[in-house]
Amino acid sequence: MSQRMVVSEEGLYEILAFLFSSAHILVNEPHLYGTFRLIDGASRLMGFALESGQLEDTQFLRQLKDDVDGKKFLMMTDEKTYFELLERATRAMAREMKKRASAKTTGS
Amino acid sequence: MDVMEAIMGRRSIRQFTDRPIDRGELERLLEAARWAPSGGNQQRWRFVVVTSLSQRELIRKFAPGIFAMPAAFIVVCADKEPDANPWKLALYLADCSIASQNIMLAAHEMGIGTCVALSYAKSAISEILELPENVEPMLVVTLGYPAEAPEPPPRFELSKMAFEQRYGQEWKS
Repeated sequence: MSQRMVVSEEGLYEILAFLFSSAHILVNEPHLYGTFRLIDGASRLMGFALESGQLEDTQFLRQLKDDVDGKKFLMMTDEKTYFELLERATRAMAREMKKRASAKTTGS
Repeated sequence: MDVMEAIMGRRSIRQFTDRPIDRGELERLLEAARWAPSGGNQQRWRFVVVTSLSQRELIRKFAPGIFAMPAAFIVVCADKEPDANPWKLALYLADCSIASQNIMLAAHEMGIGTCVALSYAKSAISEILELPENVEPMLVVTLGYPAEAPEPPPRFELSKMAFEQRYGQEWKS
């Protein structure tokens, strides 16, 4: 697995501003916004990593980001589909990480 | 455009084109805000118009509820009296909300998309805009030419939210 930086210093600061602001304002926001900020933060992080050009493989993250961005706003109007997105994205991450762990073990 | 057409046609726009909004258009929006009603005609609202790229970028970084870069922000602030009681504090938000709606309806008529946001870090916005201690950013209105045309979100039926003569006796259309 690569040890390369996939988020620039500028991107790091932007993510930090997002995380600190989210932590601050979520104190008073509706509880579902918490899940939204997390998945939106994940999308932003994927965006920086994809823009960096440093990833060995972009297909998985690009598809995942497209799925997240295409459905994340349903949090406001269609909770069922939004919850399905959260479940699907988490399952996809697990599947991908399992695959990566297996590839590491076999040395491929 | 008549008023009902503007009210029913306005959507929250979250994706914008790069087209800038000119100063005359922004001033027209400020005029719309200026003519909003306010409690006791106090007009304690203050409007900070932000168009410079560096300021817009900074604001957006501390506004998790703003997803794309708008051409401009109007930060609707309350100039709070030092001895403001809870009634006045509620009034500041009501007045700023009404002024924001005026901005959004006028913008819609001009073909400019808007979205009102409350999901931003007030302390950060105050710092970026150098707001005095008694001036609070109550709402942020994002403005830009729309790059999307969202469908209207569902609305509850009037019978579920409007009553006649007393609460619980539903309004019949």
